[in-house]
Amino acid sequence: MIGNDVVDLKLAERESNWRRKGFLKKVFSPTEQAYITTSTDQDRLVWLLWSMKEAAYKAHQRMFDLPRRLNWLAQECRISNMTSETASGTVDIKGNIYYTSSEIASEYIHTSAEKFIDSGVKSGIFDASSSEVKNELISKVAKQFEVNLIELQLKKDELGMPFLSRNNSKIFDSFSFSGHGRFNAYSLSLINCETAVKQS
Amino acid sequence: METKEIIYCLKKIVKPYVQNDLAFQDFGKDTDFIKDLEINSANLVDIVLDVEDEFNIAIDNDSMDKMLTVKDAVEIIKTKQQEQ
Repeated sequence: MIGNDVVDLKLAERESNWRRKGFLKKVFSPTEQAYITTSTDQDRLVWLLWSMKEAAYKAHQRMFDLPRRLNWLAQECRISNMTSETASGTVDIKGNIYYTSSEIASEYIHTSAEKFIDSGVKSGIFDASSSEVKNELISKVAKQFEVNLIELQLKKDELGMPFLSRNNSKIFDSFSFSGHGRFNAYSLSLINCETAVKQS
Repeated sequence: METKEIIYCLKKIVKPYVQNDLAFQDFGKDTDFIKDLEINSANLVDIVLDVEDEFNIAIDNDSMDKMLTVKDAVEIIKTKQQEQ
């Protein structure tokens, strides 16, 4: 079960004033607020934690077929390792742990969250339209599973979660899309999926 | 406060965050903040804070959780106003 989230940092700066009264309290626990207030780059920390929460909630939605909720405080982030370009950690959603890995660039932050550790997560972040990124993911999946690209259709379930279908049956859903401002990204996990696709 | 009046106030609050202007023209009870208006999720926090300021109420986490449509917001606002 996978989720991802990309934040266009320039757009976030323009669109959101996280310093406004009450904002941090609605979104971040005291522990998370401490990560932010003790950081030398507070903006980066805010959007890193934000993308961890959003990515993990998407994975959680997949796991339990849940609708969208505005419940950022129900997701508790822990950062276990952080460099100037990457971060890894966990997000705890009601006792369910999701493992996150984030790429921190000057213009964006992208996080993938996975329920299972070491599940071979691959990501792509592009300064391109969402349809280009979707096509990129479909061709990657087609190649990996040796199926013809035109046989795969991208669909959405009732909850709005995307999946790939072949001959009208669902064959692959271990992927996630996210877009914000200039950037569109996908994450996918290819481990343990091959047999399912080949059998279908 | 009447439902109509609340919806009128909400429309003003939400306007600066709307990404889909076409859907905003049909703003009403069934409008979904994310699916229809395509409001980005960080701005949903702003909407919650703006609603708290405008209506002078405190929205707890359990209520915020379900604030996905205009109808949800109206119900939360009415409930909180009655509690006061």
